[in-house]
Amino acid sequence: MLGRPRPPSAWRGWPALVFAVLVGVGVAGRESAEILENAVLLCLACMGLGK
Amino acid sequence: MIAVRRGWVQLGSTILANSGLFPALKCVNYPFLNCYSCPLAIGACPVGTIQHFVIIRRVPLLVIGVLGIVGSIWGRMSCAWLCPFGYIQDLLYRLPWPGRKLTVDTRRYGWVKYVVLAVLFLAIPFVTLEPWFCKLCPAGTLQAGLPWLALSPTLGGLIGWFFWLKIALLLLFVLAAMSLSRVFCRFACPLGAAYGLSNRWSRSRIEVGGRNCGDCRRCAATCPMGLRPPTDANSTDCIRCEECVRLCEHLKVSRPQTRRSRPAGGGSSGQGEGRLGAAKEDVVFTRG
Repeated sequence: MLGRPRPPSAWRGWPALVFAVLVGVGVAGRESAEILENAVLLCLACMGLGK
Repeated sequence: MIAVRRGWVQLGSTILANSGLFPALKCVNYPFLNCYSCPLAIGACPVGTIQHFVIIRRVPLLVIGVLGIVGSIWGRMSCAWLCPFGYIQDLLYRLPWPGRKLTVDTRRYGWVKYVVLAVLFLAIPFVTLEPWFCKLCPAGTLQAGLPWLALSPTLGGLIGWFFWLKIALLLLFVLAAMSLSRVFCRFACPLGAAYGLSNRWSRSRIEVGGRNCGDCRRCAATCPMGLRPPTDANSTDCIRCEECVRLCEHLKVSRPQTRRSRPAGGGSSGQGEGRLGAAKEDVVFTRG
């Protein structure tokens, strides 16, 4: 009912490592600039204002 | 004790995320839902950012990476401990409500948030080139629309029917959150849906000592997500609030350990004596 016993001692840090690589690729691709530009442009439509 | 500590952490996170400090941090997304149109927001909302990347036909590697790192280590923990909108829902649920508070089996209807994720969050923005989840998001109305109207009364001239639709949605969610705990997290949050998947492999887990569970269901009664922890620990709906761990000695949080904090001479799976020490003879099970 409660599932299988947990396997011992496998290093489970590898998913975080894979995602860290994605962060590196994203930063190298200047995604942070795109994120910043999108975040500072206030979206009036998203706020329910304007068209 | 955990509830009090979590409340302080949530309050601190809410204040810091909307403190107006370090505006340059908007180049990185929060690991939780917080509208970046809020006048004092210091980070980018991952939900809005991913929709923007969907619209411009790019894969948001940085956002996926940040969310993936947080999810891989802590699972859905940021929903319970850091998310300002989750904190607001926790506060709303504490308010008095005429009649009995609602109880809904999240396992039965939790699929709704995956429909929201696939349709409103990804498919519709991809087709219409508009961030439709943001347009309808009650957190955006609360954190951005209303504050901006208060700060800049001239914006009032721009109010149209769509604004009143958003206000109606916000009121609906407020009333729902007063009667059912974490209603937005359970059924509407696409970020929670995505984070939930990481509960399956995250390093922080809830361990269940199986044999001595008396099935008293006190843990289920206190779970803000309407789960039954002995069987649903580490399911995609668990937000790792640890309220159940506070109540039951058969439940224990297994956190990631660094080499320095690992006990000498073993402890390969990271299970210390802790509270489970009382049930030392139990086999430790995990689900998922």
